[in-house]
Amino acid sequence: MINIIVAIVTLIAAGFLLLWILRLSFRTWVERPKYAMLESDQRFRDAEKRKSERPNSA
Amino acid sequence: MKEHTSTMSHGALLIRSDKAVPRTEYDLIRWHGHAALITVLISALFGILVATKFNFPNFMGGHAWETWGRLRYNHTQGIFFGWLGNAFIAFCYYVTPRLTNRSVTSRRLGWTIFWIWNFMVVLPGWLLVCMGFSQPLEWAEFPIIVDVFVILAFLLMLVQFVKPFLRVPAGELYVSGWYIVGGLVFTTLAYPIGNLVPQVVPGAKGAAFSGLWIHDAVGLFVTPLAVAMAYYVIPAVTGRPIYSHFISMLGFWLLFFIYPLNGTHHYVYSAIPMSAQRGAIIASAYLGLDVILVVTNLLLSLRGSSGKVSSNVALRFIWFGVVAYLIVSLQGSMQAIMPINRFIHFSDWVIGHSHLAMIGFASFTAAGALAHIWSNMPGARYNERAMGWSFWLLTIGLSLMVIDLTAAGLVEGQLWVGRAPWIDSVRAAYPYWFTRILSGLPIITGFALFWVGLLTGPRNRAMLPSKSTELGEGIAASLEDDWRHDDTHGAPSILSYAFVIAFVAGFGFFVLSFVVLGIVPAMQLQAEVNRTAPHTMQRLTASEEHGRVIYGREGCAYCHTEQVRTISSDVQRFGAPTAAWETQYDYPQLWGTRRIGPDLSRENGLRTDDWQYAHLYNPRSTVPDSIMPGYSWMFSGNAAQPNVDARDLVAYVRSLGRERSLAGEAGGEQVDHGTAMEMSSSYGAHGVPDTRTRITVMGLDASTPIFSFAQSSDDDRLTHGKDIYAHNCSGCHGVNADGQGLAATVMHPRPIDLHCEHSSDAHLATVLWDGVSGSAMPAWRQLDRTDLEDVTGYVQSLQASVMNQSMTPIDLASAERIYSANCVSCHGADGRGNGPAAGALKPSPVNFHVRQPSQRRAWTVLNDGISGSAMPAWKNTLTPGQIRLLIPYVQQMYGKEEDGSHP
Repeated sequence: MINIIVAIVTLIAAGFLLLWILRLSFRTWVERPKYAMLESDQRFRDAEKRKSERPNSA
Repeated sequence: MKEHTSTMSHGALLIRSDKAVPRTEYDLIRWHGHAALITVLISALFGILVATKFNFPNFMGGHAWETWGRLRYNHTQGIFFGWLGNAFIAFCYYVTPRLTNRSVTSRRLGWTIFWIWNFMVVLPGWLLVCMGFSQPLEWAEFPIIVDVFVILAFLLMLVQFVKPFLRVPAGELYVSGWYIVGGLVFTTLAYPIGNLVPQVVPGAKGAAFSGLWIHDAVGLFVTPLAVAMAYYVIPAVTGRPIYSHFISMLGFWLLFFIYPLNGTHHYVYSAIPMSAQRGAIIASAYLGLDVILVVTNLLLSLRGSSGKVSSNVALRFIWFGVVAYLIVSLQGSMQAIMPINRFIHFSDWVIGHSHLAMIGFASFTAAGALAHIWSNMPGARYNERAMGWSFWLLTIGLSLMVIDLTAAGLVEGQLWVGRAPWIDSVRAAYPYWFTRILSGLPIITGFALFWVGLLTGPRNRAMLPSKSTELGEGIAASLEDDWRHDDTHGAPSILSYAFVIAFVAGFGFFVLSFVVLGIVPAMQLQAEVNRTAPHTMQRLTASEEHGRVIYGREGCAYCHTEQVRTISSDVQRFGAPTAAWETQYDYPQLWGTRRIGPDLSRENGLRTDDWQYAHLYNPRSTVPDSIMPGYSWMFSGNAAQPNVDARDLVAYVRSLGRERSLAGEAGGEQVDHGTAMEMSSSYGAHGVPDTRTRITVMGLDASTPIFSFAQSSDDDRLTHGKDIYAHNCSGCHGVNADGQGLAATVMHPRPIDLHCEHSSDAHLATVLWDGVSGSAMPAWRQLDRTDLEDVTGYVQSLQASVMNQSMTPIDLASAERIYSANCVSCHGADGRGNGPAAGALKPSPVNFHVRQPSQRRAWTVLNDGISGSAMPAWKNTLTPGQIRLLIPYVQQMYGKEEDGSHP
């Protein structure tokens, strides 16, 4: 049974890999979170910086 | 166009940066971070104490709470819950707002989780284990009452952390979020399975579920959270996106699909159906491929950032953790493969592997994440210099430990495959274990310095310089593509539900793995048990059952396995492979995953209770080189006065293998066909040698000794024999062979003074080969031929030289009358120890034709008898004169042929 599961998982993974290679829209969509993460992290840094620069800030 | 879009992207970032950000619970991060460091120091101290006891077993002995087993439980549970648990929670507080753009659910809930995790799980868990409340299940040692709070804490964490993630559209969720959600959801489901199911599902069936949890604890709690950390810290520090989010997602899904299927690889060659074992091995190999994918993606994300890896301590920790992840995962895949598993399983190799996983991968990654958080947390102190020292100390300590334990495992595996006595592998491991102690010192110092790094140094008054410009340079090109295809922001509708699908699929797959590796094997095992179990199999008595509880409480199963695997070296050394039916009443299973001492599955009938008490009270009294902790607190002052715990524990040990012995050859019918093939190939013969009596390898089943010894005057051999004696015999017979060994006082009958009688060669050989039934003298078949020959040669050299005294015919006739009247029923008419009553006596009456007592020995025995045997004291029955007559009478029987003549 595990062999069947492993085979199915392999086929699904291969299918997504093909999709990633062939469909630009899919590639763009699936890669987008890595930029959003950086953007968000930076947003937090900037917000913390602004907070620390306030006159009454510690 | 490019410039324009870059500006657009940059502009978009700046615009978004102006937005308010959700609150980050920095107080909770601080408290969990400090709790993590405090608990890792305590846990590492437990570990060093445990390691020290390997070389100095009497160190901190004598009290129940500080015995090896309890400290061992607290070591691993402290690392799991205290160190990694707190570090992961701190990380979740930091990244959840950043990945979801939402605060965690509730600050008050956060403090509730903190108190539950540290003051209702870690602290009481440690205390309860020290007090003797635990369960002997790998990675599940805290008692069930603590498990209730663990499950409660995980449920609350789902509310606290997973809830914000559920509101994020699938297309926008970064891979770290997937790992956090997956890890917390799976662990909430898997924890009760691994901790509670083995309590209600016995033996081999329970082991199938235990295997699930052993692997899920590492694979579905530690790994996802650690990988989430790596995927977050790398881009955050480098300012560049990861190499491929798609590959990261592929890695995520493969991990969650494949990891739960690995569990049974902890029980290769066991009674669990071979189909489940093979499936787990295939899944393990596949998992290695997945880890290559994940690590490649992470390392490619660091391309061009080697300068930052060397200059930024947080990133350096993460980089080391990622590399360790690759090594340990490939090592794990390799270990699951049968030819390697049979060699290194149960050895220190596996301990090296687990330390590489929990320190090299998980702890380094967690330390990297904490360092990153601290270096960015407002108002936090951060001492980069201390962090740098911490990194190198941890690296040196871990490298030394892993190399050392891996080498130790290879040495142990080699000795176990051969016919070397078990204690040889213990002796061979001494230097490696000592090196392990040394390797622990830089590790605990490294963790201490890490904490110093979080407590000292300049305070973060302002955040690090904005990386807006850096981002503009670093990711503009990447964002260009992103924003160019702005029309794709709206993902296909079906995929907008991907997160829901993931949740359902994740849950569904957990259920599937639970069925595939738990339910199905359990059903197969139950059918097998129903088919093969003897109808007369009895459950343990109340006393034995209580002994089993003590056995689990003291961690005996962490050194002594209770599973003879279906491999030739196991069968050859311990006896028939463990059948599923033998474990059908074992709640929970005590198969064990490590052998420091020998397997005990076939202990029934091997040793007397006297020996067991002496061994339990002071293991070195019976086995001079043993490293087993003494359990003197189970006795009232000495080994002769065991309290109820010691009596019940010995009763339990005595029961191990009893039912299999009673079942005979029919007891081995369950052996799986695949296993049978392995066994027959191991032996190069057809059929499965599944009972002790059928073992034919190296003549171990021979009814007569396979060795003989020449009357050698070779000094080297005599010296070697003396050495063998010192390591194996001196505990009972004494250093001077006077029968006054440390264990002698509690043995009935007492070990013999080897100076006080003369035995024939054949008798000595038989005693060494078979032991002496009814006494504490065990069989020594595990010694090799040369050892046996030389030790008997040495014993011969000690023996008394008894001169036969001449007797007048009158004295001879008188002695014969006294003997016939008093001794014949046991010792037989001709003194061969074969009288009518002899068959029922253990130990058997002395055969005077092969044993010749000295004058002094005969006088003592005749007057006082032999305590622990059927030999009574005759001083109140016979006069001294009659005793004096009997002594030469029995002495002159020595060496007589069948016809009564001397050769």
